[in-house]
Amino acid sequence: MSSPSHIMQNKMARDRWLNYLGRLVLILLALFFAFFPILWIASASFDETGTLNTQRLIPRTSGLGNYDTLLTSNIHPFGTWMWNSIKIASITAILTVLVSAISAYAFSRFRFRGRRNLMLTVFIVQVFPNSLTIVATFLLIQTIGRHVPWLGLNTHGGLILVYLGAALGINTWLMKGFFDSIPRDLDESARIDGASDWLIFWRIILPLVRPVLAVVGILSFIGTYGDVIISLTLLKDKDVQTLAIGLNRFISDSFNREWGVFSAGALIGAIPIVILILTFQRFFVSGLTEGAVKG
Amino acid sequence: MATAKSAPGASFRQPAALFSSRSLVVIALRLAGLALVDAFAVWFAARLINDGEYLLALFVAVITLGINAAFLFEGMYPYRWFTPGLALLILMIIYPTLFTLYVAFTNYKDGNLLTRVQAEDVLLSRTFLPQDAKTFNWTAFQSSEDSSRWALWLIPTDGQGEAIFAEPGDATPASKVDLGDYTLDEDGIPTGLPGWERVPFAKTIAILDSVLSKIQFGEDESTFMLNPKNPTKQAGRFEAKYALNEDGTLYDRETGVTYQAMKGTYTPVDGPHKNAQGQVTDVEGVPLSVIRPGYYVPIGLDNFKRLVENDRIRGPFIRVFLWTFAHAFLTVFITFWFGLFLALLLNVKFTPGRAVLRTLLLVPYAMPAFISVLVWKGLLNEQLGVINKFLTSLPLIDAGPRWTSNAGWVKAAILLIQLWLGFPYMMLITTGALQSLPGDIYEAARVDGASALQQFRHLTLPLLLVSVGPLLIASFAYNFNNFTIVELFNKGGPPISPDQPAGHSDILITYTYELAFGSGRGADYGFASTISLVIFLMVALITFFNFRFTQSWEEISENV
Repeated sequence: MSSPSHIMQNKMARDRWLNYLGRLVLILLALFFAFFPILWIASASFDETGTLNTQRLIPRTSGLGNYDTLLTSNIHPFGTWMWNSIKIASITAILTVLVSAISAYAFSRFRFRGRRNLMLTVFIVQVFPNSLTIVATFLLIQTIGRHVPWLGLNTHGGLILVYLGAALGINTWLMKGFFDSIPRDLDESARIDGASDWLIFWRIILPLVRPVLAVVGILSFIGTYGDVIISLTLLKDKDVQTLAIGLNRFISDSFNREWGVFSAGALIGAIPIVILILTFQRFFVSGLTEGAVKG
Repeated sequence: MATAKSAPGASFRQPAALFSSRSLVVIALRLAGLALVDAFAVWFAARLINDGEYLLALFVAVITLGINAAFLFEGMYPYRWFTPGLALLILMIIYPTLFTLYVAFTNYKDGNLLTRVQAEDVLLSRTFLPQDAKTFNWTAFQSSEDSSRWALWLIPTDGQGEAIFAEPGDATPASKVDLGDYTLDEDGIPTGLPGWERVPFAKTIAILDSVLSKIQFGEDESTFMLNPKNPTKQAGRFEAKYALNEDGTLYDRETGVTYQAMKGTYTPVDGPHKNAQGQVTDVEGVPLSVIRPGYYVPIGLDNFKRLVENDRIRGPFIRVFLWTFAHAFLTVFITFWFGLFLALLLNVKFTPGRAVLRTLLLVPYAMPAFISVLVWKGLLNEQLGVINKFLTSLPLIDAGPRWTSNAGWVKAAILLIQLWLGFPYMMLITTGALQSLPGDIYEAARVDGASALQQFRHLTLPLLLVSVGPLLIASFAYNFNNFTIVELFNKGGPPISPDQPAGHSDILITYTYELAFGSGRGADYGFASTISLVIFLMVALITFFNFRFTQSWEEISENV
């Protein structure tokens, strides 16, 4: 029964479990660090007392009052902010994907003078985030708005225009790599059938690269949704602002009193992005997005 | 495109000819599209030139010419595909970059916010009421279609000459006014006019200051406005206050003073009254000040000199500069080590529940950063936040750290938030790198008797750094400009000194923002752009270093 080898095995198994439990304690500590703020605001959002000062982890009186206030308050139009954010991020994402895909197709399929320099230029330009030129961008949008009002300050058109400046960037590189992996035989046979470049691009290549279109779209959506500096600079009125600016305004106005309502807003605002990122997490790590850090 | 189908053989190997298919419809559509683009561009550029925005007008012209060339010349065919992306890139990235470079060498700030043309337009439209001006008794009329449109019926007070009907931009002598069905009353004022309603005097009092006094009636040459000295009764014929001389100086026709633009600001240089020091004064001997608005002009290296020579600016700037580096470096450092530590804990083969634990640890990374910061701002509130309330409930601690008002603690708070936000990303990338390490070298190390610590120091860490090094530098560069965290947590505060915009937790990008858009101080776009250039330089250096360090430039060049 208890041969030496069995004893050895039992000892090894015990050591393994001990080692695991030791590590687990440390990991649980890290999980506590990671989740404490989230649990705290989740609790705050259901706490009917609703202030920073009176909140406890287990609310004395809980209910949906904060959510109700959040969605109906006229002082802080949360619904409008959320909708603005989703609208702006979606439009930016779709247009970024389109512009980027068209350019990537040309980089991948055509050989022409200046191609190499153009690709390197695109690469170098995107190294500098467009927040560096925020002053000049503000002045540019101000000037444009003087003549074309719907692209001016305080408009979503102007904001999207600024975001689209980065459409031809690292995304294009990412897509071009994908396009390169689609065999050219496909293009050639379609061409023999009389398809034009545009038709080949639209009907044959694009459907084949749907995954990379989705990745670029999601990255652009998340980046736009999380932008603070540009939207803060361009959007001044409460009703046109995005969630990032609105929530900030929320707690600078009346931090303590509105803590519960803010927490509800923070949770609702975070959920779409958390789901997106956890679902597509591998795209954020793999070589695909090397160097691209979530914005 | 359909026509091409008829001749499949002919189109083979001639893709360009195919796209430019001679189909008249395609060509017509393309030309019509170009005509639209060109028409808009010409209109837009003309308005920009009219405003003195020459650089932007030049860019609009270049972009438009490029689009035309791409669509008109077959040799430029591939560039058609780049027109949307390149136009956006040039307009929204390249132009602002060059404009930043230009503005950094100008005095573009409060008081000098306009182009020369715009400033002149504003000043030349100012009016004054000359001493001997003709005055009128007025009656107000309101447009029945557009209630924001007003007009005046003006009867000369001296009884000389005809009455005038004046609306903004137009003035008509009474004899030419079509009275329609209305008649003149005993004072010679129409009881009404087609399209206009006469406003009873009592009703005009309420809008006298807010509306009527601000409107310039009549044409540019002869402007009628309510007489500021007697607005309820009288209006007067105003004249342009300033005249522009050929040498660019501005002559004040009311006071006789001549102004000359000094660095874009009109400064009094000559006039009828001067004091002993040679300053131009008004009648009472008080020196005259400059007139606004001014325009922005290149001022050479003045902004850079301020940065280097002005002690009150240089001191805070150096602090901000150093903290920018320290913040980015420490952020990467602590998140990397904490992330790597967790990755190692989870990398052991026997770890039940590993996938779930890993995913849960990712959640902070998945939260939008702006939300996380605001949540932490609540948790770290000095009086009411849960962290300080917990700390003060402990024995021996009277007061929690002053997370937002103390120069040291605010930095600690930001690093704590960064640790929370950033460790999952580092855990992710180091996990990936750990998994791709070759197993056999560890075998060899064990045979040679290396301890676990030695294996980590001499094998794992160096190999790991090779693969995640570029990501660490990218993360450094990203946090170098992490506006979201610093601005939302404490707006860069607390201030270093009460009269300077720089704060203890400010990094360069938030400092720039404060200079340009901060409330309370006037905007200083010129100086803000100077700081932007410093950031540009730093980002360029970091990127260059990254390429050198990883030799990834060769890789990139090959991939082209």
